[in-house]
Amino acid sequence: MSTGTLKEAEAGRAAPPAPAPRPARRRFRRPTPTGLLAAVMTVPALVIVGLLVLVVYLGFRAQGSPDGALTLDNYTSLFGNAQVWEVVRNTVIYVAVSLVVALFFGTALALLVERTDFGWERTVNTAMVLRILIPGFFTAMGWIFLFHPRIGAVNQWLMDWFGLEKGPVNIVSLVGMGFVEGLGLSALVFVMVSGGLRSLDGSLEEAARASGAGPWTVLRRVTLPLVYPSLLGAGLFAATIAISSLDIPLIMGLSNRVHVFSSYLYVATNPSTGVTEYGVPAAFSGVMILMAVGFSLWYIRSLRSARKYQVVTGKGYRPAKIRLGRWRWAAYLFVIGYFLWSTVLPVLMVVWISLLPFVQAPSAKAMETASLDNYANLDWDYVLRGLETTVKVMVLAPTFAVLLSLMFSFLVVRSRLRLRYGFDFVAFLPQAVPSTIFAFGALIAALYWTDGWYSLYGTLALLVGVMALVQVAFGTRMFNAALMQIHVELEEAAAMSGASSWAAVRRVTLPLLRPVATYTWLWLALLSLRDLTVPTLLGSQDTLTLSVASWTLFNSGQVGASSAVTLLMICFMAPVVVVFLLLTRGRTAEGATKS
Amino acid sequence: MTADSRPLAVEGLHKRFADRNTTVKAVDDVSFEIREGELYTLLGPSGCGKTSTLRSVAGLERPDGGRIVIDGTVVTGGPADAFVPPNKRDIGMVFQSYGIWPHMTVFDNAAFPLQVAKSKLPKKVIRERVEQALAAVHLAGYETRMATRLSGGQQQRLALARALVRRPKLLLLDEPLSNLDAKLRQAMRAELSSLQQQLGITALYVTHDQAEALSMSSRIAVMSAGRIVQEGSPRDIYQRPATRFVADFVGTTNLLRGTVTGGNGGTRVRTELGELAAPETAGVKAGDAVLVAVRPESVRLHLADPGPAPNVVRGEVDRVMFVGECVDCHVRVGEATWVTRQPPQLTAGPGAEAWLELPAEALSVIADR
Repeated sequence: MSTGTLKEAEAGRAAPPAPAPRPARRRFRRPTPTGLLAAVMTVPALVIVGLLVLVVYLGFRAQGSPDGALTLDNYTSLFGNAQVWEVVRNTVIYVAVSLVVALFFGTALALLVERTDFGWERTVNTAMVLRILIPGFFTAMGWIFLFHPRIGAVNQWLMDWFGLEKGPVNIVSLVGMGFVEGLGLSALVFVMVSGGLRSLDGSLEEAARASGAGPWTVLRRVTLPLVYPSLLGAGLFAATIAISSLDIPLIMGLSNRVHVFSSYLYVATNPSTGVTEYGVPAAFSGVMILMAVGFSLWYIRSLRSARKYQVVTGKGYRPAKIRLGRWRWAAYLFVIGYFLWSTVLPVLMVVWISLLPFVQAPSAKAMETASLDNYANLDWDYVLRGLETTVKVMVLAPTFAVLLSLMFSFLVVRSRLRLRYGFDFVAFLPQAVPSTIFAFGALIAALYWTDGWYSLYGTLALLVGVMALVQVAFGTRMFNAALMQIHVELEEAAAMSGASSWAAVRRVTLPLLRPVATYTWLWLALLSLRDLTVPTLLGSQDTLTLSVASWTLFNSGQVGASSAVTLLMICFMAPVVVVFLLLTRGRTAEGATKS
Repeated sequence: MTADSRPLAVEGLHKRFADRNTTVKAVDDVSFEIREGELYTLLGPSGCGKTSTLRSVAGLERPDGGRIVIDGTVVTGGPADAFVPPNKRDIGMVFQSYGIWPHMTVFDNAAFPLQVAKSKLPKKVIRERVEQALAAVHLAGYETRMATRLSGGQQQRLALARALVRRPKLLLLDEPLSNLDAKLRQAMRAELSSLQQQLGITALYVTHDQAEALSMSSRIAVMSAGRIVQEGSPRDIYQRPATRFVADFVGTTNLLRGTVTGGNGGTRVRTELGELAAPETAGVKAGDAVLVAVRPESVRLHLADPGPAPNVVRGEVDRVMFVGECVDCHVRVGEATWVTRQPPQLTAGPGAEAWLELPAEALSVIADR
């Protein structure tokens, strides 16, 4: 679409920030479709904001109970309590390690694929999308089986070979947890950064090369500064996900009592002593919300200023690729090593353990004990119940999320309401604020304010509702981009043909959005399937999902059974993944950014 | 015929946009009428308000003031402060980017206006009318093709067919040819023009391309800064520009400053190059500061002294640019350099002496304000 921007400015379609002062004729008008939509969308927007406000509010109440006394104690104990300080320190180290690992591997791989003659572009892209979809607790288990100081296979071999007293690598430490989380997030960073690299005008880099700069200088002085917005976004999202996701902190940290923010919140809401104390967790969450809002405002601002310089030709022109020459073998070593250690070996270990009665390193002797007993002895009733909930969640949550996101995006992109910026920000919040906090807020709201027939506590409705709200952030971003791609003239042409607003949307806009909607729905469905965070925090016996079932088994020491359930889950996921890959063939996984 | 029964009447249209702290008057008191069967063009540079005017007529934008009447129906403004939504106005529109729906076939694109119409038409009637419309734009036989598989010119014609298929009272065209390449644009100009005349369509055309406006329009309104500065037939606009802006914007013009000395069956203007005779011009009187405008092709170039003749000025050839069908001979006259258009056989080179004869009837006198 190549209409002049000048013309748009002329027509004022660039939507003025404030409506022009109208002559005094503010008489009652029939509500416009956008006005109606805005009114409807105020409800989910208020729920998103409301949950966060509730959490902040509880931080000022004794015990974090809505009818507790007003107090500042929670904040004083938050900053004075050594135990809480340790959680803060742990979280910072854990997130920092995750970020460094994720940004390094993700960016390096993206550069290798997009800017050198390494090749294997499609394969690496597909593998990375699959990598995002692998549940975090799955690889976490795999890494434990590989590198646990006591039971880890690699550690055991190293001890045997070198006669060591104890395993040289301790993966169930803070750094280890950060490393595993970072490896998982590196796929996300890869997708975002390679998307940024693809949309970059290649002539900018060629100009630098023609000016006599070597490949490293070009990378440092031109390429990386230009993909800064993508890097920043990737870093921010990776950090939020690292903070919110429960799987790795639960699987790798809980047994050693290494707590980070998400597992701290989990323990606080599932106390072993029976005394509920929500005050300090609420205060802690309040601080996190404040930081998240601050970070997102900063992100949006730096994105805006970065856009000023952004030169996007939209021609998809790529610069001449850097020849790897004799460094090719090193690149192969790097890529193969990455996939081997980050994905293949952990997955194989889980498969191996699922065949054993107890955890053993692979050996001929262990092979003799291998059997399918773990699968045969599974509590199938339990598993099928988990499967049923999982299917429900997987269908319902993305459906609601897609509908809500569509409506948010219409308001944000197509309306001229001043409020649209507000809606945009609210829809962005679930991306910035850890989903753990949303789940925490929803849990308390359901606990205290719903009762009897409308009780939501522990229901599927609550679980689906919160998951859908959290997914709105991803959906809105997808639909915003898609709607901006659909030229307004396509909708105006429908109006000029005599179609009403609704007919124009139904016959023109929605059909054009269908590919994006399908893609978004499938992606969110896969994420709902692998999600452990929200179901663990909100779940009850009635809403047990497969992921929670697997975690519960693991937590109670039934490691083999847990591995078996996880593998069943992966098998169950496989057909959906195949559909997803077939439908998105040829498309890049640019949008696949929220895990 | 009263104003309200015209295909289109626009009265006192206003449209403002807020830009930071100031308000920009995009459309500032614009009024015009279109007669039956006319192709009326709003011509002006980008930002002059022509598109806002068109979009107000379409109902895609809500003006801040003024009245718009389409075929006797007040669609905007009036005593009841009406606003008829775009889909209920009896109009068809062709967009700059065509607005062809990529997910539909050629047939579906063209049939859409009939399919969404209030009064349901039988399938057979729709088919017939779509086929007629497609045949009119030479797209018969393309019905089942996906719209995206058409070339630019074909998409353009499809957009036209879609706009015409429900036989609207008024056709709106928003820079419809600006996305085509030069050759195709010229061909489409002729095609559009003959189609408009054959079908007797009344059309409002918006463009910044003066050649398009001059060749296709029945009447032209030249717009600048939200106002109509001159309205008239293409010939009037080209040969008798009313303001310096019009003279500058439409075609190339050589301008010469002067003072009116008197008129006697014509206007005499004293300039630094001598006194020139010009046609009688309303609105200027002796002593007025004026500009004399002359088009490059009206200037007669002599390489030898033509002897004592009226309206001859002397100059020196500065540069000769071969354009193909003619040469543009730039001649230095006093301080200024004039552009003259000469037959391609011209042999003069830079530095040659030249005499420029300015035929009185080809000069126009513009009040210099």
